[in-house]
Amino acid sequence: MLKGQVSLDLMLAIIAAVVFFGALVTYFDGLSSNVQHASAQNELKAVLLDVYAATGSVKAYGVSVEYTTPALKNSTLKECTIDVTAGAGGQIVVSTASAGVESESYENIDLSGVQVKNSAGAAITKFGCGETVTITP
Amino acid sequence: METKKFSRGQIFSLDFIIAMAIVALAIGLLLSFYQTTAAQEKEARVQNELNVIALNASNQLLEKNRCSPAGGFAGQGYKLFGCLDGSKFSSFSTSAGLSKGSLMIPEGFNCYITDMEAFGNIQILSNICPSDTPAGVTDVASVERNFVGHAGDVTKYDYERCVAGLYPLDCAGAFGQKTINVKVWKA
Repeated sequence: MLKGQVSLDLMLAIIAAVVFFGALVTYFDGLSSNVQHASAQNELKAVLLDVYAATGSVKAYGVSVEYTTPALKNSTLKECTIDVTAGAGGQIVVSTASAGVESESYENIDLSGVQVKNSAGAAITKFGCGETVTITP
Repeated sequence: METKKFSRGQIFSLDFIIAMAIVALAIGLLLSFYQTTAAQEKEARVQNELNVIALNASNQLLEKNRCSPAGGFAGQGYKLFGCLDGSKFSSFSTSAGLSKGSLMIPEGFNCYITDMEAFGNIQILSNICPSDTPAGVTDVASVERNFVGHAGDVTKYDYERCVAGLYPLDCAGAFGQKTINVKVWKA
């Protein structure tokens, strides 16, 4: 090799490295987006499971519970809403206004008699994550 | 000793090929680790969900059919947790208006419930939970609940004798220790 000469090896290595890392960045972008989506979906599911368990205890033991729903930790999610429909074919739906995130729900569960009340004592069906409500049998 | 390092027309050096192979291997290992961790987390989440649903279903089954205190005992505010009124329970072996929904098992989940003690591990509530876990289903939550079975209302005297551990002296025939098993899996 001559002094100051850049070898073909080095040039090829740099080109290969640039192409490789370009592909890697694209891959990780997709992966990161998938992870964010899955994380948001999991968080909604966790809220749903928590509300379901609290409602189940109220129904089984016949006790009123002052209950604070879990607050969202995922910064990409907008406020989430919990919708509890009482009755024999009841359902619990946790949804968010964030784009691309589907709502999570448990359907066809018997919630006869179950009532959700806000801090003022008024019966409600929808409330937000992080909000404190009273669930009565 | 003089060694020849490069040949004319040579494109890649062995060093470079080895370096790239090691880098590719390292990235592959990293992705494999990530994938394994993500799969384990998902498995744990699914199992947790099934556990909560199975536990809740067993609560609904046992606590909604709890023994009632008899006579003056009822007015003293007692609730007989862990005591199942057999006379209410037996009606559940047929349809009796019971549904998966009344056990709060949501749509998309299946169940199988057995009475492990009283009748020798027989299936109960076959109208709503008709068949056992199909082969190939790996994520299954199984909850066993012990309870005291009693047919009809319970007097304070009987209840306190049983709680005091005098079973079966005073409880023979009237009470029985039983276990139910509730299995839940995703349909």
